[in-house]
Amino acid sequence: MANETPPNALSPADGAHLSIDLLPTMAWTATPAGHVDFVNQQCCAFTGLPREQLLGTGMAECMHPDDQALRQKIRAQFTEMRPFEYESRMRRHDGEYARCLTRIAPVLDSAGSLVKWIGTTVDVENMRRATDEARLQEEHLQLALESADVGIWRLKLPSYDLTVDERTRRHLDLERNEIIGYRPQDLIHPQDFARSASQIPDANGRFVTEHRVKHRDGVYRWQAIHWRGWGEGDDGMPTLITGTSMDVTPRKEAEAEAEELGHRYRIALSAAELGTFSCDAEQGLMHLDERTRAHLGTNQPVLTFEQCLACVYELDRERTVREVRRQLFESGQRTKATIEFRVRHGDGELRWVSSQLHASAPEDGSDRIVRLIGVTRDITESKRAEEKVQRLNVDLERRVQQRTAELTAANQELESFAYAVSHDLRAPLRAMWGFCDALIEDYGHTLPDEAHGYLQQVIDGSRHLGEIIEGLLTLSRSTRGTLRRDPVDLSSIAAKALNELALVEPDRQVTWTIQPALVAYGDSRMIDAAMRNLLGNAWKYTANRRDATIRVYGEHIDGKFVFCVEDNGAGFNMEHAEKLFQPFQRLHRQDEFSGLGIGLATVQRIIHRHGGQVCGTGAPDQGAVFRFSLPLSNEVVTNGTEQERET
Amino acid sequence: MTKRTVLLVEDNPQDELLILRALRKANVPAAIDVVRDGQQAVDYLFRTGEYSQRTEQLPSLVLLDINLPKLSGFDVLKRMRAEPNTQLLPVVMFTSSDEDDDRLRAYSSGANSFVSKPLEFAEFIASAGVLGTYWLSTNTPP
Repeated sequence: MANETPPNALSPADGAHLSIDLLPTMAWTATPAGHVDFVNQQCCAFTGLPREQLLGTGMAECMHPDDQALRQKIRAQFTEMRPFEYESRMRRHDGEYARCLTRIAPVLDSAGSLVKWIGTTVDVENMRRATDEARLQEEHLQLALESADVGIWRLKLPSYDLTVDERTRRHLDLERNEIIGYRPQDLIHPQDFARSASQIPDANGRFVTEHRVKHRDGVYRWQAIHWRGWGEGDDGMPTLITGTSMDVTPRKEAEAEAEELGHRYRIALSAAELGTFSCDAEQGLMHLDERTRAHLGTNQPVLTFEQCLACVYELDRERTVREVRRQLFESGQRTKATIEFRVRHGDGELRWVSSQLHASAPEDGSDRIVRLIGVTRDITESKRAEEKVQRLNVDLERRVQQRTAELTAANQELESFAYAVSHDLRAPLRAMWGFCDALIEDYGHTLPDEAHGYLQQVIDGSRHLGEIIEGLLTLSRSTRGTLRRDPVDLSSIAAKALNELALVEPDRQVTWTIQPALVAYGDSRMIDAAMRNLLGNAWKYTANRRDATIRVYGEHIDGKFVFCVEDNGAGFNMEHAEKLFQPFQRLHRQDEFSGLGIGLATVQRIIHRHGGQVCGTGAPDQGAVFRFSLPLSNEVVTNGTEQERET
Repeated sequence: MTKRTVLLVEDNPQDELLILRALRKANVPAAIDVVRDGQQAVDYLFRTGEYSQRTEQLPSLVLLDINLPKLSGFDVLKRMRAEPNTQLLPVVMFTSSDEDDDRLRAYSSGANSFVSKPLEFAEFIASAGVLGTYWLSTNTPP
């Protein structure tokens, strides 16, 4: 640095120095080379140093040691003839550093040559601090708005010009940040608009509304809007409205869901007629809803444990307490207990209540129970129905036993009746017949022919009565005993029976066809008897036909498999069909076809015993078909229906 | 030759007459003693009750009905087979029954034969004749 003028030498000719000295800020001058040749009073006051110490490089040496690097740049600036500025920390008179803004400008003569540098230095520490503080606050605000996703906006009235920040723009799904002539009624849900418009401000003059705003995709989103008006226009309306926006859709949806759930629970509880209660175990208080109160026969919404237990019918109390203890404290689960007890109501009626308790333990993992929530239900009706069913079952069981015993007795009676018939009816018959024979044998020669004729009538009558007794015995024997369930081949039974009939009457010309492998499940002895009766009939009633034909086959009728025995014999008139299966009923005279009328009755008894059905169809001189069903599998027959059998 | 005796146990007087006549017609070579119920039959065979004074020997054949007053034919048969004296005495169940059950029970109780009384008198005579001839003449007692 040049040192052409003495320091602090205030030249009287240079009046500028005097006025600089009076400036309220630090000011100084420097030679074109940058050498400080004058400092004003403020510089001395700021630094607390005498003027002479500040000349030359004195001012620069007050800079903070960390800012010394700046001096290089400043020196470089002095080589150019342009104003410049810089900020640096300067040591104050108290040793503290303050941020100072220094501005330096060149002074040129009329020829444009550099004469001097003039510099001012301003203590900007307080200003900087205020700015920093403001910036910090702004940052905090931004952080708060950002983290809460709160947007801000302002609306000018009456022009409705809306200005929004990015967040509000997103909340309201606006295309731009500035909207001229904003029309909120177009975007706010009609149901919410009227409500929002008629808001009353709070004590601070602020409005808070929640309304749905339509987005461009047509979907409404819930917004919480806080706002207030400023100024007052000619129409009494504010001239400016400022506010915030916040998207509260998730909260609103959660609220709506909670409300919906609550509604559903209320409906469910009401439909199931469930009462609810909760219990704070620490306080020992039970809170009962209206239905639980009704179930417990009390009108108190809050009861102590003891009061609650007192509602339980006294004979059920001990058991109820024991059950709750056992289920909640003695079992491993400790979360749920179900109890049933009676409650005596005001009118003296005992009603059954079922209750389920859910226990929750504290979050600290200890095994205390801190809270109980439960439901109650009146189960009187189902209890009564249950008791009724039990009574009915017992009654039914007793009746079944009684009926079975009666039936067994009746069957035994029938058996012994048949036995008695076989013996007691035969003896007098034998006597009638025998003594007629004795009379003829011993005294026949003394009797006239007419007497012989009468005696023969007695003998014929006896013989017929004997046949009837035989028939009755056959009928009663046909289904006596236990019913066996074996596969029975009806085809081979038919073949055997027809061959035997042909052996007995070799002169008869009968053609027969038998479908092979007709198998039923049943008692082979009985089915054999039934088949022989049917085939015997077919054989007998085709006696008058030259082209006698007998067919044995199976067929489906109404989806049900039936066995058929068909002949082309004398047939019968369907008008008398109901007599077919009645014992001793006949559709032909003895001189047409002899017989007792016991065969088809036997067949029917056997088929019925197997749970099957039998029917006969026919027409006079056009033959007859007897169809019958039998079990086709080894399963127990129910309702007489049989499983289908593939043929 | 010792006179043979047949014991007829029959409660029906008409059957009794018919059987006696049939045995007579068939020339069965024996005297016929008749008792009319099971108790009498037992007394007769074991010389008890009203027959305690009976001194004659045991019959050679017993024609025993099943349905009898007091003791049934099966009861009588059981008693006979339990006593050494009567254990081997031929017994023919001559009865109205032709039930399989009765037949089976008769044979398993120790009857020597089971014959159903026929309804027709001619058959009756034939049966009685066969019985008398077979059991009194043909059959060799053990």
